[in-house]
Amino acid sequence: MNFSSRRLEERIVDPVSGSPITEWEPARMPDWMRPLPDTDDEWRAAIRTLNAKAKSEGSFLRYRSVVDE
Amino acid sequence: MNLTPEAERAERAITNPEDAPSRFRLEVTSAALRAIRTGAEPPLEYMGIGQTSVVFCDPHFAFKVARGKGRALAEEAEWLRTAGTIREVRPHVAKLEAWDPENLVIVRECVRGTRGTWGANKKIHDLWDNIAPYILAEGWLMPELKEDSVVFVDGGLTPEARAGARPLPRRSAARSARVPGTPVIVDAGFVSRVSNRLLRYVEDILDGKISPDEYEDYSTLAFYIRSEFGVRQLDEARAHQLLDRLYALGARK
Repeated sequence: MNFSSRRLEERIVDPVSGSPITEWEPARMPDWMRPLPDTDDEWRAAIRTLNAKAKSEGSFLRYRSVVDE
Repeated sequence: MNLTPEAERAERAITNPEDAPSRFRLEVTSAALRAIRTGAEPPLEYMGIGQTSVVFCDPHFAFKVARGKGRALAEEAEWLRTAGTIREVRPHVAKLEAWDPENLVIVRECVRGTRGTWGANKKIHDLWDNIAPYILAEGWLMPELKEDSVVFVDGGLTPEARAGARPLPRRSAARSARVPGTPVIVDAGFVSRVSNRLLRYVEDILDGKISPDEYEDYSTLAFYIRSEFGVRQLDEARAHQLLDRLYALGARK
């Protein structure tokens, strides 16, 4: 698969219930994620790290990656 | 940003969104969503936002929605429950209807009237002084004192109150119905357990019945207990037992 077609999305969730408040929207890749992940496993690890970092910082943002068809 | 359909419905339920600071728009929306899940019936009136919560009133009750995780609102609910059982205090505290531990929402009476300001400062301090002994006897300290934690019930201030009368006339304090101008505490934030209630709380934590707040490690709990010796009524033997358990778990002495 061509992983360059993967991109990052973000949305805001409720801090207590975790319920989504906004729809998924395109997000800017953080600088520390460069070079971009190459494989599915690397992407999964990167998203896990992003979400863990957001939680630990008290941010209500959550992330996922999507593949453009 | 595009809201989810559920969040959009919650936002539309707020009758006065313009009263909320725009930078908190999404947080107020998510709080409204949880208030509705707790049982609030739209329309919701936005009442205010503070450090720990967002408050709405529906046509029946007020819904105080936590802004984050933590035990702050659970403790406030417990304090309101206790205060509501004390005859002398009850008229001066918003009546607790329910506590929703899943959504972290306090459901309480929506007290209508004039919010306390600096101008009513003496009356509010007097209120705190007058009811503190009753609260203390139940193992609680008073909430943080803020002028706008108090509402003078509708009808506004009575002429006596305006003239600087004591805010807690002994006769009205004992009544369950309120006279216009009665000061009522609507925000009981930042309360602390003391004496034997504190011991019960620590025991419940050590027995695994409840989780402490994230800042309450074993050393902090031990500090709380040590601070009670010689200050208030305390079951000292039980306090020492709990301290021994905390020290065995690594609490600093």
